[in-house]
Amino acid sequence: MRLSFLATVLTAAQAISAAKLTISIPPSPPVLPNPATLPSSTHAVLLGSPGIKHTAPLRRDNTFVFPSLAEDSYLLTIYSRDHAFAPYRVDITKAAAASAQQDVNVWWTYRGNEWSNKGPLLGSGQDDLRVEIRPTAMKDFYQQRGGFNLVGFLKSPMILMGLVSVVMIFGMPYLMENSEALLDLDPETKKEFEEMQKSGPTAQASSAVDSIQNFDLAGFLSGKSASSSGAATPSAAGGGAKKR
Amino acid sequence: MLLPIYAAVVLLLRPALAVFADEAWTVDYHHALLGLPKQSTTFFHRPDPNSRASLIYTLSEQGVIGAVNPRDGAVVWRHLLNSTNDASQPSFLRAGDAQDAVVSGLGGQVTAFSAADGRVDWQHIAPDALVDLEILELEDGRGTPGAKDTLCMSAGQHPSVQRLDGATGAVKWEHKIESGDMPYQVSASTTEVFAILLHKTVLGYVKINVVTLDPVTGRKTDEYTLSSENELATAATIVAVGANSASPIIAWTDSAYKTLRINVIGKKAIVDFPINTLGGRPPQRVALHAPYLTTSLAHFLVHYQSLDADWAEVYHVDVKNGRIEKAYDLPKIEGRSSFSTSTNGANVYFTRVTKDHVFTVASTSHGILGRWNVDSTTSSLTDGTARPVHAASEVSVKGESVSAVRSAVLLSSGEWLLLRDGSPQWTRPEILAGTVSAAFALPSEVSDLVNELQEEAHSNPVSAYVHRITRHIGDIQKLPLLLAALPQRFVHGFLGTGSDGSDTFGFHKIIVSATSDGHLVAVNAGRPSDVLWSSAAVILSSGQVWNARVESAAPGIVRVLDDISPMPTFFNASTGAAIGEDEVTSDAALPTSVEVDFTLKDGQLYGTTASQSGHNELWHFGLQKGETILSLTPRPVNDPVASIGKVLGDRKVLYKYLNPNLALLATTYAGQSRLSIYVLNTVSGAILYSNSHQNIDLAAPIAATLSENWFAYSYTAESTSTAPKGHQLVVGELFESLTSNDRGLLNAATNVSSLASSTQPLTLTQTYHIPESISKMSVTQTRQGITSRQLLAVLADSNAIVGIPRGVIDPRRPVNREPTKDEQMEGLFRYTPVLDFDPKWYLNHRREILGVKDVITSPAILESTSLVYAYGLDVFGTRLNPSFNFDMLGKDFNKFQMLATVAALAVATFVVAPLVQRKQINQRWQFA
Repeated sequence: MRLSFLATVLTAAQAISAAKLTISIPPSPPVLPNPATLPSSTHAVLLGSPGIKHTAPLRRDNTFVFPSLAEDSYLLTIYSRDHAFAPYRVDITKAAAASAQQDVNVWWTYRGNEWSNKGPLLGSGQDDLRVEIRPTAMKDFYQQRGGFNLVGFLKSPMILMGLVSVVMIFGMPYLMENSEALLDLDPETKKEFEEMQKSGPTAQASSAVDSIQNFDLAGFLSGKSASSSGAATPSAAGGGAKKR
Repeated sequence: MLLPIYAAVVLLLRPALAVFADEAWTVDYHHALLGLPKQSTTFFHRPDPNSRASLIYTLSEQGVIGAVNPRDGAVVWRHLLNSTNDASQPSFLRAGDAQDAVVSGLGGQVTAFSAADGRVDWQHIAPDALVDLEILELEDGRGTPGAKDTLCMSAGQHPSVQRLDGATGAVKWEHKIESGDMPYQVSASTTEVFAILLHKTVLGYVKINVVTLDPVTGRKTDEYTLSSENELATAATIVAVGANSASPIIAWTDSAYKTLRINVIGKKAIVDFPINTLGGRPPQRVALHAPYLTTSLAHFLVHYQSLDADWAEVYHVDVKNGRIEKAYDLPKIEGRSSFSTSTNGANVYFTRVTKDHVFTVASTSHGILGRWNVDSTTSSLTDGTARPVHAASEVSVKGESVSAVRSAVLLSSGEWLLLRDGSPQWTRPEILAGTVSAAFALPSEVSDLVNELQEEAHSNPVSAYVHRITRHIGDIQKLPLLLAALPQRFVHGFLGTGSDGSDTFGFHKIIVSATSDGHLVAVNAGRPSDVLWSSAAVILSSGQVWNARVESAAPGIVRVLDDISPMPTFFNASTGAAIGEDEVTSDAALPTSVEVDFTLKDGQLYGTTASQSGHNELWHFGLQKGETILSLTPRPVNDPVASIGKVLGDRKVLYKYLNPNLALLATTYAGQSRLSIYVLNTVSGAILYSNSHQNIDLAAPIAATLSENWFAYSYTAESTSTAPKGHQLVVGELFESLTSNDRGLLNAATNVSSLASSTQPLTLTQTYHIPESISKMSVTQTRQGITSRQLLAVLADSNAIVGIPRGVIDPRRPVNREPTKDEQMEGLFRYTPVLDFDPKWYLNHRREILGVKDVITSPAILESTSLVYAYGLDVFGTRLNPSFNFDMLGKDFNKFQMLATVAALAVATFVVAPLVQRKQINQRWQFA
């Protein structure tokens, strides 16, 4: 926002045959519906050859005016607090070898590319050019906190896996009982099935749960096998529950 | 399986290095400053003539023009007009009566601003440096009725007076001053424009020449000389040239302040008034206060200031015949008072602000219309530590009496205070706008405890035990107070409302700033809204700038080095009291003596050793012909590094080149746009890395920083056939070797001397094209250096500071290929030549930080947090967590939710416990 730009501009000879560039900011919804809301610190900078830098503040009529530009190739940047603008290239060249007139051309330019890589032409004129430049985006400064979201929480794969296993552990026995009732199995098959269930995966899982609950650290450290301690669980578990 | 999860975690981490919406205006603090307002350029003005609301406009010594809301002291708009901070340059600010414009003049530039929002109306380049600027209040039939024209007078080779169109800034006429006299001021009455010139006589005296100009054509109509041949020795005793009043006057005194001579401009008569000292000392300063409007009564006040008292006289001018009469006196009051003029319609009021009272009188009679006591709660004004320097006032008039008066008073302590009927409404610490150096310091209470503990550790057991018991007894006495405050502390902690004053996390560090006018000002980073203490450290002659450097010498003590006294001075950081050097216990954490020192002397860089025979030159950096040193950035003294290596994705280690004696030297070549960068070993003087860039814009800022084992610098380059035009950032990192799990030549060594071995680090660099130039760089600091760092870059064009995460500018980012799985594990991603500053990196978010010259950082007690303080013109501070606040609960931690969960679990336990018990009993008794 430094407005003291004139030390470099003011060689009088240049001022005589110098081009004028006016940049206006039109209303451009949805990014900027009303350019009058731009803060007064908004300014445009033309960066020329080494040592040449012109700054133009925002005027009342939403324009930036560079009254006298010498022949050069400039990088145009617009700085605003809340809006982002693309960079542009401004070239001021002699119109013809003998004439005093100057061509003014404004192109898009791309950062990280060689300077000769110009984008589409934005405007072109002689001695006096007025171009319209629109902001590209609003600046979003703030990071929103990821608040607690129950649906999102339930959607996460870890929770889903956990829920499925909980359903399996608690729901299966009921499911089995109900299915038995529905199927109305004969006692022999039922007995056989129960035998199978006792040695099946769910029984193993429940014994594993038991062994974790009654984990005998001393025994584990002394190298005693887990299965022998697991065999002694029912009474131990009952005792523990009673004490509570 | 692990890799995608890890990558997801890295992706989740990246945007979190941003400003959170709920912390944005609470964690950070900002003083949007203007600088010290000048008397001649500070006034109340209504931006909208139809509304009664007025703003205070000022153009400060720091060259900032701005509008302040008198209600709350908030800045409505402001512009930094010059960045050179040359206070001696004359600057002007004028507003026409009932105009929606203020016109500023600085250097050679005249700018008209919209008074309401600070947008520019027009700009005009004067032929040379301005000496005066006025609004032409007269209405000539041809001018547009809306915008009043401006008169500007410029000096230089071809001095001239120009009249500028009020709507467009176009020159209406120009009067060239060809008499060879020095232009002094320009003034206007309702019918004429006067150019006041100073004519140097052969004997070195000054004569006042008045040239009368026609306001419509600018032609000279008359010219006459005031003052005799040998009356004025210098222009300094010209008290005032009244501008724009119904009858402008010019007043001057002799150098001994014996007589006041007044002339109504346009009339040739000079009236002499002997200066009445009222039986006291002769005045040291005479000032004149007159209204600035042609519609006001032609009354003025002459303010006399002696060493210990102030008094004033009010004069009336008869517009018709140009006679001047003294109307009445305002009594002498010991201590400083300041006078200001306000108008209401044609009436003129004078307001006097003293240490204890605010008085308002009308210009017509000496009867006091309003008198208010200055509230005793005003700190620095009433306790006598500060005196009023100057004031601008606005009066509200109801009928014949003054119902209210608002005065914006600049105090000698550098605070700008608004008094409304004597009661302070707000203060602005404008003194901080002149900060030249600042440093973080621990509060002295912390260091007191440290000292006591050290005393116990170093004395014999018995006395240590006694000392400890007495200390504990002293502590017990504070217990009732602590217990009484406990409930409130719990409530505050639970609701998160305000802090309890304790500083467990080390956020309440004290920032001591040295200002260019010789003050030391301390601000608490935990309570930044008010100034902790402020004192005048040195007495400077006028125009002198204090070149000081503030450093933290020991816990609770700051050291100030300047070019006035050869020895450093020490101050208590909590109270500002000066301390003798013998009381300072040196900070054990910092090395006190160095074997090899390096100094920058007369543009040359030397390395010296201290030995018995004095300083021996060890090495000397040989500059090439035409090469000059631009900057030297040594590695910070306190720069802890947690890990000597970088852990790669495959759990191997890449060893960093860690050397405490590193410095980054930037040099330029006269006449060539070339920049050279060297990384030096400051002990041996060896060049560890060097690079040179062509086609560099040396007028643009070149910033550099160095930390840990990496460095960064930025410059602005002109386009070549291969390189793009624009601003570039280079980041380099030094490694012992680029092979993992290999320390290169240092492998077997346990001790290494820079002088004996010549190990060269391997340097990786990457360059990024950045959207704007960086004017200053800094790096965050944390207590142990475990937290990843951020590169802090000051963007002068955006009025912002960005914190660039270190991971984004890692020079090991893979170029022209996608990262491998190991690199992804490390958090590296593909190199892109463009580095855009994400708005989420802006530490200042929506605040605009003007004129930042430097950014300092300091660790807090918490490892995750780095304190940041930026100064220059504005003052901005914040806390940063470059890798999250992993050791502290953030604002996202919901205390209610946690308590609700605990309560729900408790209820569930109580409900479920009997059920479970019954089920278990049933289990025992039921047999299948």
